[in-house]
Amino acid sequence: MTAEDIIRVKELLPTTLGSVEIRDAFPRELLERAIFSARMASVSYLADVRDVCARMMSGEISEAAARDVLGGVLERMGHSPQDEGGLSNPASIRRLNLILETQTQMAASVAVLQEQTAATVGIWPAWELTRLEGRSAPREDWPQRWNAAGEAVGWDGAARGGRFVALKASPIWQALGDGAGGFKDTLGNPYPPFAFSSGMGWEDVGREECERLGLLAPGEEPPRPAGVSLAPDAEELRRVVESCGFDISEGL
Amino acid sequence: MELDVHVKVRPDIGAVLGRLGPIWRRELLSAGATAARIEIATHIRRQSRFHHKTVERLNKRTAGFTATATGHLEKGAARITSRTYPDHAVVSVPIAGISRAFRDLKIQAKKAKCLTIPLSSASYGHTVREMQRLGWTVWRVKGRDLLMGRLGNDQAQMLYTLKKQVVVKKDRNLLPSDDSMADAINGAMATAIRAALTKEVS
Repeated sequence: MTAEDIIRVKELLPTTLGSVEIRDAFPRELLERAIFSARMASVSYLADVRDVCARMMSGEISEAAARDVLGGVLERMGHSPQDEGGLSNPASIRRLNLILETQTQMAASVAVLQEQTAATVGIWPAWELTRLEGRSAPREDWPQRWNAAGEAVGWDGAARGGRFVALKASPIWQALGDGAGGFKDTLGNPYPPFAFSSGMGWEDVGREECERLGLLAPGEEPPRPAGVSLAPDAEELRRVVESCGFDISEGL
Repeated sequence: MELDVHVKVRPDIGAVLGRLGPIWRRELLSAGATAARIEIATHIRRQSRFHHKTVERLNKRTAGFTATATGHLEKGAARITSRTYPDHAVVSVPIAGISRAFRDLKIQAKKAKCLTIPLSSASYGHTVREMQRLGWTVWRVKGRDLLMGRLGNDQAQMLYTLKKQVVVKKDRNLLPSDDSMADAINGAMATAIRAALTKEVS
């Protein structure tokens, strides 16, 4: 699937919960395939978010144009960027950039993960987490996050000290997304963005570099990362069929 | 928007691809497409360092406001993806206007009557409507293609010039050269073939 398609197939998840509560209340798999925003209960607004994010990923519109569309929708809902609240104000520039950048980066990461084959992992067996986008106040705790995530998974497939390099199949990526070490600003995903508003992303690392870092022995076959599936689980289908109130198996 | 870019495949690799079945062809093309994704992202990131002229010029001109670059190139570079089919691969570069790497880009007003070109750090990266939402009073100067604005009781300043259309000149440096793309793609596919053969032998 293209990154644009990945966004378009996402479900809308209206909620009155805040970001930390959302992470605690919903399973990661559900959030991964949903468009949501803290304390945003409007389905039509979330549908607009989904649409403009998809159009951004197709290169049709810029971030400023996407923000303009959403700003107009929020204005009609009674929100203004002049309202107080900073990031908790849905119409603030920072909040709009946050939702657009998070959703588009997540979709791009999933699209890249879905394209991993034996050939690509053979040539580039690892990712390096590095700063790809500038931020006015970048987090300075990435070494602590990396160390905590590494310790949590026993440094399985991950480099210690210095560069943030790990095999694509290393469990460190999930630990980083889960906020190992007690970081509460993470998104729960094993791919970038690992934290809200983060400008850190992945660069592919070649085989030679992986051997130099001791992540692979010469001739050792690199493991492939688990794919990301946005398909809903069977439980959801079962719930829906049951809610229909008839025995659909006869028709099948 | 999709651009068709054809890259010369080395004759030996082309011969192998032509004789392989769809599964293996897709496998090799995935290596080529990933190499292209990496080459394009690295190139755009490097180029983005030289594309802050507009914001630097506006910051010199505007007192009281300091704009930061929108970062649209580096954000786009971080979101480049590829997808592979048995007979071709597609690399998506989600940057509005990236086609000007190959041709002049004519931009015309679609919904509005005119395009708004920022003249101030305050208006850089914002639409007129967004400026109004941010509390600015914006008005057109009679008889001139100029939008002025004021925030509260501050002094009025020039925010935008109005144009029916603009032509942004072709900038081939926005994307890697055909040769460097071909080298990256062919190199990756050759490596994938060698790796598979080595594995098969051992």
